[in-house]
Amino acid sequence: MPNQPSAVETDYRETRPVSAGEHKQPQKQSESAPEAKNSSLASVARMAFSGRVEAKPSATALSVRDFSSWYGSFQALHNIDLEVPHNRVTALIGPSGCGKSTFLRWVNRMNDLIPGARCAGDMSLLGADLMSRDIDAVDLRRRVGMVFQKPNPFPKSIYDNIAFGPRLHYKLSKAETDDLVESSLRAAALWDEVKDRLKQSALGLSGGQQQRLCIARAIALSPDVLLMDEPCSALDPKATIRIEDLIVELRKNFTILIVTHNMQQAARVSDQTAFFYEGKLIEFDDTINIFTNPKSTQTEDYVTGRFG
Amino acid sequence: MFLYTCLAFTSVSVLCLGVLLLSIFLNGTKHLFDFQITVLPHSANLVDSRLDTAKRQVKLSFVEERARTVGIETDRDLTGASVAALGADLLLRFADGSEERIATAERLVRSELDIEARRVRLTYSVPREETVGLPGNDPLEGATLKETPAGRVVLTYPDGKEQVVASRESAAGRVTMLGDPSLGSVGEFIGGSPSVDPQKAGFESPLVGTIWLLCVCAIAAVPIGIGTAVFLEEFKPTNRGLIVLHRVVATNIRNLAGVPSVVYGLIGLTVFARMFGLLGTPLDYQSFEEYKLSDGTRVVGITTDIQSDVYTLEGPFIGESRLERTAYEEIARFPDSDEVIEVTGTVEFTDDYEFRFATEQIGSFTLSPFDILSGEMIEEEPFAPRPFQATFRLEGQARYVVETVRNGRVFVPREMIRDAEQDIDKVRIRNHIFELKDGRRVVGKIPQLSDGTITVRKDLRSEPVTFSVDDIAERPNGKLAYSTKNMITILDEDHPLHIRLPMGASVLAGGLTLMLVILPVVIIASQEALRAVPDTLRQGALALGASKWQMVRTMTLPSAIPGILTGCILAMSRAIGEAAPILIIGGVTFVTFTPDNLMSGFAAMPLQIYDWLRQPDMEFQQVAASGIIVLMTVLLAFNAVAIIIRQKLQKPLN
Ligand SMILES: Nc1ncnc2c1ncn2[C@@H]1O[C@H](COP(=O)(O)OP(=O)(O)O)[C@@H](O)[C@H]1O
Ligand SMILES: [Mg+2]
Repeated sequence: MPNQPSAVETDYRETRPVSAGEHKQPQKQSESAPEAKNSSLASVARMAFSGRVEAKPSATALSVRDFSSWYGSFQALHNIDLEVPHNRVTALIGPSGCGKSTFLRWVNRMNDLIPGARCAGDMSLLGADLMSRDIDAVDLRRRVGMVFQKPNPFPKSIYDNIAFGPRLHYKLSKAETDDLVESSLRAAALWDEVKDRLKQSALGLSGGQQQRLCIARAIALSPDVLLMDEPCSALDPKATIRIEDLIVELRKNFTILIVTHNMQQAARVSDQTAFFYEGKLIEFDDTINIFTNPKSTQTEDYVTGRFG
Repeated sequence: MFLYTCLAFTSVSVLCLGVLLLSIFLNGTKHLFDFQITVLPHSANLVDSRLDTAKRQVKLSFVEERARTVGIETDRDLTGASVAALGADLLLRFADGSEERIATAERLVRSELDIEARRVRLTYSVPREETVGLPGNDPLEGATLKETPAGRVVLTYPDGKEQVVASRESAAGRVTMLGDPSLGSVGEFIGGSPSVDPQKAGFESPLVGTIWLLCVCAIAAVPIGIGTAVFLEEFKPTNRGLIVLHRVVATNIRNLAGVPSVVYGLIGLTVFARMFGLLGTPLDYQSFEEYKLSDGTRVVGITTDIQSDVYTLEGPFIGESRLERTAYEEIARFPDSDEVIEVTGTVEFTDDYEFRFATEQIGSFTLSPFDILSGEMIEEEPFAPRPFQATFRLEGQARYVVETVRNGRVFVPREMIRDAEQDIDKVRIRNHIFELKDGRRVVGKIPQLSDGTITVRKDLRSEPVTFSVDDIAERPNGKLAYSTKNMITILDEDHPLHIRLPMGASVLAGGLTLMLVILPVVIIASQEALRAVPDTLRQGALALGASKWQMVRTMTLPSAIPGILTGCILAMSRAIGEAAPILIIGGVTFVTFTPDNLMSGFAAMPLQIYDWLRQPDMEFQQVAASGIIVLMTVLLAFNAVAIIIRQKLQKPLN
């Protein structure tokens, strides 16, 4: 093996569901990789990619066409065109201030709360026009979960944190709520750690656990799309790995949009990657292509760490 | 260095506070707990001691020697001069026999002339009186005062208990405790009525009054304050013009927190007590009684007579009276005023709850139970015709009330009033309105009735209008076209939430005025508490599809509640001590009643304390101090309740 897999990668690979039939040989690809400098990252992408290639091309979940956005007179996004596939992880990368969070916040219309924020263009989620006046932002946010940069558990018990969203929208019996809490926590790989202290404050959990709790809280509503805005940037490496594992696991059931500054992370968890720069979408392709064979030099400079 | 300065300032302020509280406590304990810590008078020059059992005090008279020096003003030679008293004058007698007055000789004990220093040193005896109050309520009749050889004045109670009231132990006197501490007198003080005698002065009405005020104030201020704060903090406008408005409002609420409370008193007076005069002043309304009778009718009038079986109401309330002339139309013959008609026949109580009488003597007629005063005749259930015998006359057993229409007198049988407390209420009438057959509409106050005519004046300056009762138009339902314009009233007087508009000097007006005083504080504290809730919580809730209102209810408010309640506690502490706005609204002192509904007049603790402090009798100072102790206790109790609520709402996990 030319590239010694780090502890992280080893850890990762062990949890990866492997579909043997589609498996390409990571070593060979790695040998033929043109960029020596970026070889580690590229191999990660290849390895990750090889683990979960699927036969059918996926349907589009979120379709964005000619989308621009402004804060007052400042244009934060310029004519974005993007097709986010269904049940895939799409990473948004780019230097700070390039509009990744802005884009994400339009998907669940959190930007509605910012005075002066407006947009133009089309954005549709599973066929429904998100920017139309008929869309109820409150209802939309039930269908589009969001996980924030800093874990923000509510100052309530772990149980109440998970049950918060469902209780807002549905009338649930005690047993139904119990089931929902358990399945959400299991899906977020947190159940075993907290099952004995569901009634204790969520603030007593570690940072990584808190972030997984926030993910569990979001998926308790079974959203169509899960938005994650730098979900690991406030966490230590170990906790980061657990979240990444979780993302790969969640990919089976959810369409995930993740903003990250960590190229390794983008390479490890995402199927597609979109590179934003100064409010423009520079390149959008399969992750493996972005990291091994970027079309734009800006992308290449960014993923190889020459700027940004 | 900085640390020491801070420490110094802190200890000075704590010391001042301590001294203040201690002095209040020492002063106030006498009335509150029946004991008093005091410095006993020094008994060295005691000449007389008297016991005043009525005022519960010992009067001590002392004579003290006090020296003073007088300079000699003339330049004359003093050799051979001497000092001598002549009548009331003290004279300086020179060697040549001439004299000059230098001081008064009254109460002079001795004089020494100092020729060298050209001055005279004079010693006078000065009387001094002191009183020592005796706390407690042990009987004093038969108690004796005695001076012991050791120089103590001892009071011996009839039961043999002894109490030192003056002592020669040291020149500065002796600190001692008079009386036995007991909690019984606390009850007497806080449950007692006001009195000109400081010994008996009680604090009940101001205490209860203040509690009413605080409850009204809290119930009004807390929801409005929290609501405003939530609105200002959580529902910030996005529209440009509204943003400016929002900023202006938010800034001005801050400014309002600094406005002196007297100003709020004036606002409260105009807005709540007077209501801008739109509904007239309370003086524009005349008070009448309204009777709610067991058959559902209402009669209004002024009660002029209460007998064991009948109430008499008088007034111009023809239309209100439930007596209708039609009921008597079948009567063949009316009795004269002194005539008694014996009637026999049958009576039935119909399904309409009316009595139908068929008599041989005067024909048949119908009376409702209200018209009939005979107790036996009133039955609850309808009954078939049965024979009866009765006497009919104007006054007496089976009285009926044709007279009502003539002069506005209504007799209400006692049985019709279920509960004199509940069923008789005050109504306040501003104008009486009569519609006459000739189409005139007479509006006015204070109608006067005499022999079938009614005289109405609009006010004292206008011409009175006089018309006959028969001139009053009749409504299609057979009632006379008479109505009144009453004061706006919500619920009746027996209900604690009774409200009248304008509010006048009522608990409600006082409480709402205090609300104005504390509202800015509540709003600002709540705003700060809401601002302290991290935005990430709000975003988290919104991202889960909570509406703004759901976010506030489930996330922001619960997180901010401890801070909000702390603000409310501070605000209530301010409200409890406010005297100025209460004074302006019309809080009273020296009253024996406690409020029983929102419209009652009221006394308030700070006002009563202020009033006591103004009394010439020095002992009221101590009563005032007792009042302050009670005031602070109530304050602490309120705060404790708020803290308990806060703990409950915080719902600590584990
Ligand atoms: N609430 C806001 N008001 C005004 N400008 C904003 C706001 N949020 C972000 N911006 C601006 O929009 C641009 C994109 O921001 P953002 O989407 O947060 O970038 P990223 O998440 O990629 O770092 C930045 O230049 C930022 O200054
Ligand atoms: Mg960002």
